[in-house]
Amino acid sequence: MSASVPERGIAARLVADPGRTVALLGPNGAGKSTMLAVAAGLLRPDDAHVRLTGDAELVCQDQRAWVPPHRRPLTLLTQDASLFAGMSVLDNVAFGPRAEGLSRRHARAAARDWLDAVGLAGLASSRAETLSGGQAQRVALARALATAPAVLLLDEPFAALDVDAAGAMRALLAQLLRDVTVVMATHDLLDAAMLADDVVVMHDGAVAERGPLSEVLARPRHDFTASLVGRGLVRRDDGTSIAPRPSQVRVTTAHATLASGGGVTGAVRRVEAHADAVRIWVEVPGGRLGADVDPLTVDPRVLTPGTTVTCVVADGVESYGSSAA
Amino acid sequence: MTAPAPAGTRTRDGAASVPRWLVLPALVGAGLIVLPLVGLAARVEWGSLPALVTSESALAALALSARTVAVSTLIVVALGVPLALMLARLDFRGMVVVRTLVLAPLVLPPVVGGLGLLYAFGRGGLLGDTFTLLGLDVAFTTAAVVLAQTFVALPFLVLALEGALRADGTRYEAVAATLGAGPWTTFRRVTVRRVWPALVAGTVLAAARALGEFGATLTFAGSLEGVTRTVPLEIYLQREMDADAAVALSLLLMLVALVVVAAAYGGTTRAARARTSSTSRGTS
Repeated sequence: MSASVPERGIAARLVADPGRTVALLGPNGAGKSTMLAVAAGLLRPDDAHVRLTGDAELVCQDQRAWVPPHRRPLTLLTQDASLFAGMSVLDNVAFGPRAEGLSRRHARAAARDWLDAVGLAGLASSRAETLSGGQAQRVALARALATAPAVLLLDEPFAALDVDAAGAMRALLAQLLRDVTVVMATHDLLDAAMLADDVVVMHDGAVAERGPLSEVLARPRHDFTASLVGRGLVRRDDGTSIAPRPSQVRVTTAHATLASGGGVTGAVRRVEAHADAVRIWVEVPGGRLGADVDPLTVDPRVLTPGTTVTCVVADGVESYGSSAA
Repeated sequence: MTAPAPAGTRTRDGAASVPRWLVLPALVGAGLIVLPLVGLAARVEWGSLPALVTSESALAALALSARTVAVSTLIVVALGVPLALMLARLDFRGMVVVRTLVLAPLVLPPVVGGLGLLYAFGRGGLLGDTFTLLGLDVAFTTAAVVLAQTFVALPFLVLALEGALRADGTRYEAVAATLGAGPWTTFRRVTVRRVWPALVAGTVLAAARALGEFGATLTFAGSLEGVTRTVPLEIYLQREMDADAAVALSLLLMLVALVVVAAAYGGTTRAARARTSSTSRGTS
């Protein structure tokens, strides 16, 4: 599947390979939801392309073609479960199969299987509006999967859930989505880390970088990705980059290091409190470095923004090509 | 604080206070509405009531009203639901004009509406010639009564339903679409279900308005016993000749009105309350 939307200041191409889960990672307002809505057919920009290849070959939208949402083999699950009130849980899940033309009995049988798969078979005859947020979202997942979509679109599926329910939902998705093609928009690194095979990082309506999960997270090439994984990122003149963890950077106040030599000098931009350390972000030539400061060696009180410090990156931090491999 | 509340007490909303001096005009207003109803009930000859409402002319009027209101209510639903859906969901130029025109009968004097109907569908009217060619002569027939009732009642349903459709938004319709449901399935299984209380309330109000229709009916359909003389027309006629009969029929309409208001507004109030409580439960 591929989709792009030149309008709305969003110029992004999104490709999801069959059977894989792509995380569309980015901050709020990056255009992730817009991309999914365009793919589902809920938004119709003048100049967008949505195309399915493989078994379900279908041009959903290009300059000439337009396929309305209900004829696209895509299902969208948003952060809001949006269960149909006044219907039983079972009939909610049976909605898709029924719309497809299955008889009530067959649709309900299929729905029962999916309810079972999300662990809520016991709630089949409950009314949809009586469920908790976490239960409702699991029913919504069963309802989406019951349509056997070629691509399942997830738009921040955990954003409205509390910590426990989100964890349960993540575990459930990890188990159920193994063979499904999924595009998941999220701002949360944990979602991507737990569920995705591939990552597309979006920033300001454009794709910042893309690639397999481990590659993108371990070798960030965009400042936003680096900050998302909590690392610094420095591009060096020789075309390579380093992205050390804050624990791999030692920081000293400027005049103290003149003697020892080495390291890069920069100004403190931001100071954050972390569990057992003070983390500072330092603007250095070519990028930004994060460093955990041990209060025993450096008095954190002198590290106000603007202070000049010297950062020494530990040996053994990998350097890699600045542009995508 | 944690002591159990004694039976019969309840917690009141501390913030719900009103300016005390507004109580007087409120009472006067309520009295103005309630007193005529009481006056009517006080004037009823209870002993002769059964005989009065089963007289030949009264029965003819009641039967005619029942028939015409049933038909016009069906037409109101069949035409009003699509109309409300278009007004709520489509966004076209001239929409404001269309809505204004469609809702005009709400505030138009019914006599004016009757005249309009006459010059649209009556003999010599806009469509009158066409109708005559087809062998139809609508004016001063029972069909004219139904037309007049539909004309005045339709906006009640459209107004109630359009508001509900707009308030409900298209979120659930979008969900249904991504689940593979076409527009008709979505409308039938999702939209109608969600606006059901408003649809019922709007239909009941429209039926009540049709039942009470007087001015447009008299102008467009006349007052022929058994053909176009509905209950309101019968009441107006009897008022001069047999006031007791007029009062008896009026009492009937009054009871219908009370039942309708209780059903329509009681229902929507309950639904609104249920919705509020379920929302607050959802966010807790």
